[in-house]
Amino acid sequence: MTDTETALLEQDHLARARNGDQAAFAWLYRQNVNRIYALCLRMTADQSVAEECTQRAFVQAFRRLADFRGDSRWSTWLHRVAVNEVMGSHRDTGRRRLREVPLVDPDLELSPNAENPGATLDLERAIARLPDRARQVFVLIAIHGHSHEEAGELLGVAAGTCKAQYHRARGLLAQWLGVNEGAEHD
Amino acid sequence: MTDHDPGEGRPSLDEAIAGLPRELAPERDLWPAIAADLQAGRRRAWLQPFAAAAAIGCVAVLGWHLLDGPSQDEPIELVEQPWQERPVQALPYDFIAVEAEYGAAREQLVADLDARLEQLSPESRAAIERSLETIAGALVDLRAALADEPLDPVLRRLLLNLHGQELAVLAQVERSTRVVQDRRMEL
Repeated sequence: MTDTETALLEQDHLARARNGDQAAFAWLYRQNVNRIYALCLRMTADQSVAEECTQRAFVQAFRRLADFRGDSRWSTWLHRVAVNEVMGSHRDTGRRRLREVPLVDPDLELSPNAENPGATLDLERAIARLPDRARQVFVLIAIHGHSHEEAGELLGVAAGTCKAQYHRARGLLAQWLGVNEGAEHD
Repeated sequence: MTDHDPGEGRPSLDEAIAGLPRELAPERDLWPAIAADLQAGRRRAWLQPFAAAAAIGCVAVLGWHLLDGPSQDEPIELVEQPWQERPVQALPYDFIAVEAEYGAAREQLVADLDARLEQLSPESRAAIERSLETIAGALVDLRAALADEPLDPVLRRLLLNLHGQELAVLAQVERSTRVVQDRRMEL
C-alpha cells in the first residue's frame, strides 16, 4: 500500500471515528500503536508507565478528534499527544523510579560488543539508563528526528537546553557503549 | 585524547541509532482498556445531567433547611455521597424489589406533600418543587436509558441514588413540617 493510499484510508477512518465509530478508531489504533508505544517506552524507560501513557494518548486523541484540523498527518498529531501524556505522567505522578545517573554509572553492565556492530539491545538499555531529561531529548531528536526547537517545544524547555541535554546524552551513550560519538546534529 | 580510541573500528553512534526499530509492540493488547475508557467517557458525558439533578436536589434542600428549616441546630440527615465516588459494581440485591420498596416509601411521603408544602414559605416551597421536578425529569430520562441498557451497573446505581435523593427531599419536608406543626401545637 502506498503512502497516499494509507493517508486516504486514514482520513476515511478519521471521519468515521469523528462520528463516534469506535471500530474506525480501533483501526487507527492498530495502525499507530507500535510507533506510539515505542515512543512512550523509550521516553519513560518503564514498560508499565509506557503502556499507561500509550493508552491515555489514544483516549485523549479520541476525545480530541474534533481538535485535529488536518494540517498534518494524524499520526504526527498523535505523536504530540503521546509526548504530552508522557510529560504529564512525569509531572503529575512524580514517577521518578529512574534515577539520574552520574556521568559514569558504576552499575552499568553494558560493554562494547564488537561482534554485534548494531548493538541495538545495548543501545536500548543505555538509552533507558540516561537521565530523564537527556533521554527524552535524545529520543525525540535522535530517533524521531525532531529539531532542537521542536523538541524544546514538546518538552516545554528552551532549545538551548535541548541542545545541551542532547550532547550530554550522546556523550554518555558513546562512553557507555564504547562507540564513536560520530557527527552530532545541531 | 587517549592513546587508544575505545570506539576505533566500531560503528558510530548514529549508525547504531539508525539500527533501532521505530516500532515496538506492547507485550499486551492495550485496546480493551482503551475501548473501556472510551465507553466510560461517553457514559459519563451523557450522565452528567442526571448527576447534576441529584446534586441540585441535595443542595436545594440543604439550602432551604438552613434558611427556612425548623432549627439551625437540627442535624441534617441528607448526606448522600455523590454517585461518581461510589464503586461501580453489580448490585447485590434484586433490582425490582428495590424499585418496589422505593415506590412504597415515596407513596407514603407524597401522600400529604401538598399540605406540607403549604406550610413552607413561598421561597422554600419553590425551591423544593424545583428540586423535585429536576429529580423527576432526571428519573424519566434515566429510566429510558435503563430500558436500553437494563443491566448497566452505573445506570442502576444512579437510579438508586436519584431515588435516594428524592426520598431524602420528601423526608426532609415531612420532618421539618412536622416539627413546625409540633411547635405550633406547643404554642
